[in-house]
Amino acid sequence: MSDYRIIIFDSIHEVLRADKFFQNDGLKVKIIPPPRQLSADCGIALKVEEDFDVIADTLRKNALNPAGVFLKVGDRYVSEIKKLSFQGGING
Amino acid sequence: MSIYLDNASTSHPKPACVLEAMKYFLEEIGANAGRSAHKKAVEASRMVFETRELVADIIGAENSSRIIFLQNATEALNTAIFGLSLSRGDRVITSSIEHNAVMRPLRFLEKTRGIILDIIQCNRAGFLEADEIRKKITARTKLIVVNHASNVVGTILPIAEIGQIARVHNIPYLVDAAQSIGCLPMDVEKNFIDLLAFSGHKGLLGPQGVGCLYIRENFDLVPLRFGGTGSNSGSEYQPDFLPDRYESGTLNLPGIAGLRAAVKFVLERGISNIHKHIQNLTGELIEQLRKIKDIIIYGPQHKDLQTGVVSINLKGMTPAEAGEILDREFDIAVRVGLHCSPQAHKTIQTFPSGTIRVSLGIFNTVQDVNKFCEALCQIIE
Ligand SMILES: Cc1ncc(COP(=O)(O)O)c(C=O)c1O
Repeated sequence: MSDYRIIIFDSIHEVLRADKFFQNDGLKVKIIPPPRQLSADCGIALKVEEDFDVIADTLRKNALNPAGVFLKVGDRYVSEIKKLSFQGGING
Repeated sequence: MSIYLDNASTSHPKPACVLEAMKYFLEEIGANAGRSAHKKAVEASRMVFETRELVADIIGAENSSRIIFLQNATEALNTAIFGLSLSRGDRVITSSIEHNAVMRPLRFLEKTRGIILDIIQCNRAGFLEADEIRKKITARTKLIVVNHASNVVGTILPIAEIGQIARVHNIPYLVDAAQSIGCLPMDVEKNFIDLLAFSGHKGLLGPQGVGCLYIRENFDLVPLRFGGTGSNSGSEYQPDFLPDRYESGTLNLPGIAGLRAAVKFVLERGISNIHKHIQNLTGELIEQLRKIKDIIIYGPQHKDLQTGVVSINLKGMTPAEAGEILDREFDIAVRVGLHCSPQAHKTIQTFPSGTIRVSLGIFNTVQDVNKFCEALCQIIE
């Protein structure tokens, strides 16, 4: 599978929380240093090899509010954050 | 064999897993948390994250990002009290059995910023009725702060009832759980708590050097410390998300690694089991003390109304003298004198000489209680 997404959060705490929930849901997830083209303020990001809907479901269920979701297409990263339309700030 | 009866000050001994976890962290991980993306740094961050989740679990907090790691309960209390930005004429309701970790910040604000303290006088056993707090509430009341249990006489305050009153009046409610955490069940939701401060080194059995502050969802405090957090590094402004907002600077990582193992240990034992054990020992201790003449016992004198903290005095002897003999002749460690809470001593009428404070922990046994009471009998003779 060559398709994967990079998910970015404001804090490391949120990255690790998301990592936990993705793992609990059996998704293919890995903690990585953020790719150069993307800026992740907290210094780490998640790489998830799953479809958007599957990822969005876990994010929604757990009130996770990423700062960015990017689909890797060739050597570009396409933002999908607008497709995530749900409420609630990361930490209220 | 020495007997340690000073667990209210700090618990001792620590479970072996705590030492192992600290050693493992220092030897095998060692990197800073939240600062880099290399494997060891991620492992350190994960260790901190897992500790946060465990601590959240112990106090019934849903969102573990609301758990802040600080140095001790004192720093947690200061972060809460100063973070509210109280100003002239604002009123704070508190009790007459608070620790200096609460009273000194409040007295400082009284002196320098003109806040007004409404101190509810507890009875001689350290009790107060929640309704007395309700009666003191005014439109200017900006904080209610009480300890869950007294560090001098162990008295357990009705924190849920007080919390309900605070919530109804929309007043921030801070609870000092330094003496109760790990020994009594805690649930921040059921007790209507906005801010909960506690140490990692007492009932949670962690090493010294880590304290925690829980901050309820949507509740903001001005941080006590500003600085680097590893996040938002491109900005010169403090992040507004938790836990980073309140955790500037490198954390006590070996301490947190130890706390993680300690909290796991406590959760495995079960807080209700630990509570029952200490409660039984407290009952036994009080019963034996009552049979010794020439002993004054302070506080509730009932195992259901107090933690494993019992204050006493021997007639005709200062606490300091008694403590010295207990240590020298019997190798028994207790705390004597004033216990960082002058108002509490005035409340139980032991100011300024203080008391002999016996405080039981998870690793104490009935034999310890027996030996302590035998030692007292010998000293009195
Ligand atoms: C009731 C109470 N509050 C606060 C503290 C301060 O705890 P720490 O020494 O961890 O800052 C203590 C500990 O002595 C205490 O008993």
